[in-house]
Amino acid sequence: MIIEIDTQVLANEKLTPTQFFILRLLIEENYIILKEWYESIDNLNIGQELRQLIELEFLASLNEGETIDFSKFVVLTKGYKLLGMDRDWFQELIDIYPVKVIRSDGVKDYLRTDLERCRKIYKRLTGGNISKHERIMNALRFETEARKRDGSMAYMKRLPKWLASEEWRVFHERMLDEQSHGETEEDMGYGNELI
Amino acid sequence: MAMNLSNKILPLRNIKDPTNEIVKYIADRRAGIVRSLKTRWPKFNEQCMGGIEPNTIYTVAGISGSGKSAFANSLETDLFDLNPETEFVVLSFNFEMLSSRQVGRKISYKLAKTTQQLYGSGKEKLNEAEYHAVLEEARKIERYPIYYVDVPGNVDEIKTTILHFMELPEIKGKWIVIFLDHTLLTKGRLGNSERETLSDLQHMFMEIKKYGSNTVIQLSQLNREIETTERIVKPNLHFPIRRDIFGSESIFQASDYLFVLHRPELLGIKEYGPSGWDVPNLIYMHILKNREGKPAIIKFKNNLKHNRIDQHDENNST
Repeated sequence: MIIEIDTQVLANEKLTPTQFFILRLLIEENYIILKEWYESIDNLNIGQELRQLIELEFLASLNEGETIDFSKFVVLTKGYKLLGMDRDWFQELIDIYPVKVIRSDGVKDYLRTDLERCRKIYKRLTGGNISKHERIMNALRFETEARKRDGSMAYMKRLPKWLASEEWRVFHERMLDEQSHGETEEDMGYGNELI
Repeated sequence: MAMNLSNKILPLRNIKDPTNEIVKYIADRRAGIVRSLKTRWPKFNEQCMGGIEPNTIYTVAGISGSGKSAFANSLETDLFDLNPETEFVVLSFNFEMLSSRQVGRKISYKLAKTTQQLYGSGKEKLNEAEYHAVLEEARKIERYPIYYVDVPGNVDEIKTTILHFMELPEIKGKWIVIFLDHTLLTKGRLGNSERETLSDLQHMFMEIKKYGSNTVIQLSQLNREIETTERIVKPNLHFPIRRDIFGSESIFQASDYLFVLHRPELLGIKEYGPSGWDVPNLIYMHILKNREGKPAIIKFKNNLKHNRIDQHDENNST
């Protein structure tokens, strides 16, 4: 299992990576992996980590006494929010995906097709990872801006193909490249400054 | 083969003379003796050494309907209104329309009425009060020292007319702002192509600007390249460039300042340029050549129905 962690989120919420990891597995109800993991680590005081999550109001416990039954922990709204699970990520993607384009032969084409299948693909693609969702969203925003600038909107893929071919990866790379070279939207070239 | 060598020797000047001239110019500008003629567009003034300068050629190009004539027409009278302390006259070669229509546009501009309203060509007719306002404005306009030539001529005729005008007793020694609307309507000599005529015109203007304090403001056309589908659909190619100007080489060489007024909405463009700038009711002035500064773009508000264009202010449109 691969989990990405946004260190800025940890700093903001005063969480340790261990607490973040525990919370993530509890949300996914991945109790077996959680148990195997913590039993394999020496010197890990799981009770203390859980207590801190409760104090920070990410969790509530229905356990009695000192017993730890992971299935009796309830993730609170703050916990879902931390992992972005309170939002409909796919809907967020749809909201910014272009509705239609004019193909190079002049025909109008609608891009948001086969939404149920796309929802499943997107869930699998993001794997519950909000960082990945944010990355895809940024890449899509960049792609639409870039295509508008370049006049290549006609070549924007329909959503099922866009997801299946992971088109966002190409534009994510391009975005990072342009940012590393200091190119911005406002960089209009010599003589093109609007005053 | 025999060569036809001209016996005319061009005048030689030691560098001392132009050096003294420029030092005097700097001193005069410093002391406020030499001032540019302010226009009513502060951003334009900022980019162009404070406004319109003597001994300078300004070219304003654009496609039909981009506001070139409105720009020039507005300048013609604004310069007098905004610079009452400076003595100058305007000589306007208006080959495109009758000078009376040009004055009609000025009245439209001053009274914020469309020319259709003024001429009563629509449903609305002027009422008595409005008609009196027109008469009053006309009396004011006729006092401007503006002289029109609305009969098209060739390059030699334009030159002779300017030289004759400069020698008139009431004009002699004054700063003359010469307008030409527009370059492509200049008649060609027999056998000359349009481009040759344009080139001759530019050479003539380069000579004329060196006499006295002459300023030339010429209007010109763009070729059709900016209207191609590729240019319209690709935002990176939206902005006008040098080669969009008809006869670009000679005009570019001769001009000290070269502006292109562009209304992207005329070409069906919804968002302008790579950053998707707004389009409705806007005119973009692209400064393609600025002899004393950097090229840039100025945004104007289109008020062409009243024959004026206004500088666009993001916070408070003026």
